[in-house]
Amino acid sequence: MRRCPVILLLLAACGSDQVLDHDLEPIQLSRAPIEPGGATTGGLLAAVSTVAGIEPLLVDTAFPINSLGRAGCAAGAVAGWTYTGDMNLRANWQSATPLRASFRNVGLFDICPGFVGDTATQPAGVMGGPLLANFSVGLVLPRDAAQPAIMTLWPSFPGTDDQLAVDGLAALHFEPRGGASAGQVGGEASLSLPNSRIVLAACAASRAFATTETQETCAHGEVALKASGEDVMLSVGTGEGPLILSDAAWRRVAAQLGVAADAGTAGELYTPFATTATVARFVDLPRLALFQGTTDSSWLGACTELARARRIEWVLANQDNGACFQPCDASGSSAASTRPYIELGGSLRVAVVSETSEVIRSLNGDVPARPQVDGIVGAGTLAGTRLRLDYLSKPSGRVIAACEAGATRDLCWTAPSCPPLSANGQTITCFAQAVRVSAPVCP
Amino acid sequence: MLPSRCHLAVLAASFLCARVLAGPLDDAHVADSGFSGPTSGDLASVYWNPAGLGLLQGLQVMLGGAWQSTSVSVDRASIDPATGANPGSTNFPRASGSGTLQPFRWPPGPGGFFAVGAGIGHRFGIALALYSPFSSSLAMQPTGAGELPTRYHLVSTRFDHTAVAIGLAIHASESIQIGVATGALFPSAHLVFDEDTALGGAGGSIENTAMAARYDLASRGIQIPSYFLSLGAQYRRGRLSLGFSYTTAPLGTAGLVSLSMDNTQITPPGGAAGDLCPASTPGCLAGQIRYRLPSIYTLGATWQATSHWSATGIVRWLRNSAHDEITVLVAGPAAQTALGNSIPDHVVLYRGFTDSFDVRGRAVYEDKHFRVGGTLRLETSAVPASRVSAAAIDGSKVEPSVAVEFRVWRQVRMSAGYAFTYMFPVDTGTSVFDPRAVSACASAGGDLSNPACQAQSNGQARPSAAGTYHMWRQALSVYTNFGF
Repeated sequence: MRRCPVILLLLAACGSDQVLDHDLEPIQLSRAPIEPGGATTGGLLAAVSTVAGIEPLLVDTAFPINSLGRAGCAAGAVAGWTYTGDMNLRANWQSATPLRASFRNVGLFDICPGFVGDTATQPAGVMGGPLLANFSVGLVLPRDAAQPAIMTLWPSFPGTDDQLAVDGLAALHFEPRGGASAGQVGGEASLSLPNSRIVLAACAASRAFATTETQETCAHGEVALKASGEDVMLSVGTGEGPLILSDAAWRRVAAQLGVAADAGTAGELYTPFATTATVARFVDLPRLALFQGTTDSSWLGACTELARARRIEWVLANQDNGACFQPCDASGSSAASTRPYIELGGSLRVAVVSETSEVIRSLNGDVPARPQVDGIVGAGTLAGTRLRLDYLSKPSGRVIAACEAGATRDLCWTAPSCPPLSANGQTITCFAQAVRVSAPVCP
Repeated sequence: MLPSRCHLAVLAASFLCARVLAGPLDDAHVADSGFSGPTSGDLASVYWNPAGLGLLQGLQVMLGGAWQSTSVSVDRASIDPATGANPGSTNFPRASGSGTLQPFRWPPGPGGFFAVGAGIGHRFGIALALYSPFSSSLAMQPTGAGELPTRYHLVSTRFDHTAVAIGLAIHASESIQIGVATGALFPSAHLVFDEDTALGGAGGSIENTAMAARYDLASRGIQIPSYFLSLGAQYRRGRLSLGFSYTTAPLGTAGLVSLSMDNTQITPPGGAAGDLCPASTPGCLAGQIRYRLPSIYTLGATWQATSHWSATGIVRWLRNSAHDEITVLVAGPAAQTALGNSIPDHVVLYRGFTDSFDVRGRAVYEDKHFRVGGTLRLETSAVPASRVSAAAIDGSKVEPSVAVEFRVWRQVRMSAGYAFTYMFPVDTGTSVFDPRAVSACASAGGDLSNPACQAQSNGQARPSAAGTYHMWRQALSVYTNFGF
């Protein structure tokens, strides 16, 4: 089996005259297992034409390059360098299957990714971030493993954040990361790697919440103190199955959960970042809330923003009973605006891996260095959602998130942003609900 | 001072001007008083050839307005109601449509031109201008029986692109001027068409109006602009003047314009416009259209035959082939299940334009107080016959026009004109639009290498547009130039 060293991942080429033929119709994808023996809601797999026939192609937003093994990915093959080639996506695995998308003259690495999910799934290559970043990528990821995943490639996605919020869609903005450049010693042209990795702020292991619970009080200056859960930074990785966390990040989360840092069961994680299994410990996480990846002067951190949004949501649900906005969430006579988020629940499978594992090192290989990325939120964690990875949105990219129809709040909850609120009787759209605000700020 | 009869004549003529559209989007007579062009030296040079600004003298203001009326008629070929192929047992009545462009609206234009500029020290010229280089307007009228035979291609359309540009020119030598203009292009649009939701369905008939969904998309307010650049040069020696200019398509996007259509409504078959939205948020749909605009090369030559007579030839090369399709995208509520399933959330409208040439010859007689000119313009079609639809009617055109300009006061000149454009009737022959491509593509599993799927992908899998198309236009307008 060929090795897929991290350093090689950082030396990527991008085709300059690439031709991207596709339509706007759905492309059906299959999914790899989350872990060996796990549910098949993990890494997204398209079908691609290779010299060996129709093979799986991993669709991975976290992978920093596009790759396709020119000579197949059989054991003993030797990794090549970069080349300009074609990536033809097929409808399914059968011979003579319809062509669904054709990407020609694409900068590709002649390397094979690692197994995905288990040792039975060996992709022939990866449609990575640099290629996906040419589109507004729609993904339907059913929770039901028997249902196929769906991908659509659009040139953009209509609607401002405010318009989408009214429609119940949460727009999570991000600045693509992962850029690097390098020149190969020996005279080959300098290669550059575009920023294409989606990194979002997240709150892991927050407490449970319901609008029927007792109101949480929060005085001035307590906004951060009232937060529950642990802030982490996660890359969206549609080619991975579980939520992958570095050991250090997990230790912080475990402390919040009140479980031992070495809890869980030992296992093996198969990701495209390494061709051998990564030693991992598998644990379960009750909740994960994903927020924007960008920050601004009023950004409080994911868990603090989550706690604030929940408090304001609680007041809106209970304002007819005399509820008032907490002072820590108010500015003058108005409640603060909330940040959009999507909260995923149920039992979220987590793979805890070493800081020095190839997957964590690759996530943090930005040149120049940027804030630490703690792991990857994989396709299995995102099962039950409908996402639009709108790379081409200006001025920053955005992940437009919604839950699949019929999802319960404990499994998936989308909270679009809520504007500043004051008790003026005005009807506004908040958390995708039209509400008439009458609650004042608590004294 | 002119006699009073001249004043009256000028006032009467002040509603006349030569201004018509070239091709379905391009305005061939932006800032065309009947005398402007790539070799002239007035404020219209911001559009025609910024190098001409080098000939400005003193402070000048130019203001123009136009009224333009377009009429079309469409005689659709019959179709087979089961397949949509031509011919068949379903006949259509003649469809007619009209469109009017005039500048007195918001956003301003099309048809208007306002510019202010000055020559500085016989070496520089600078100007700021507002105009609309690309625009179209057409609404099809229901027949007496209430039918809209062109509904699947066009119910109505309005495209405007208001440009705010600043131009600068410099004398490189005694005989050569060079100039540059850069500007922002503010698009706005309103597009209405029907989508046959039964195409490709089992047992459904083609063009069954009970299965038509109406898409009504309109932009709102001032949109994010695109940016363009224009470069030009003029050469003058003896009686000869030569001018050349190049105007880019929108920069940084390969000519692509992405226009948010914030007022978007879809009326599902048998439903009402708000049926896709919850009652609490009636305007829940967000739309977007995407299309490309052309770049333009302009070349002109003027020969001053005598002190009174001059002749001018102008050629414009419009890279219309960039305008291949209009992509319509719609987003709706997360809980909405019809949009994206039974109601398409994306539609590609095929245009398939080709490059076109606009050639005109002009003769002008000029005296101290007035000048009069006649122009004959010929233009090749931007739309091959088989690609013509109600949304893109074009053919070879001929356009005679006349213009007159008077000095009505020491610092004020007014020009007026009239133009009549006749498009030679276009018989599409076999239309590229073929609804059978939908089912053929479905049978092929959506295979992009299949011609039917390629047709569907680029927007040709729509009801046939085969038929005969007629179009003619009249334009009246006036330009006033103030020199100080």
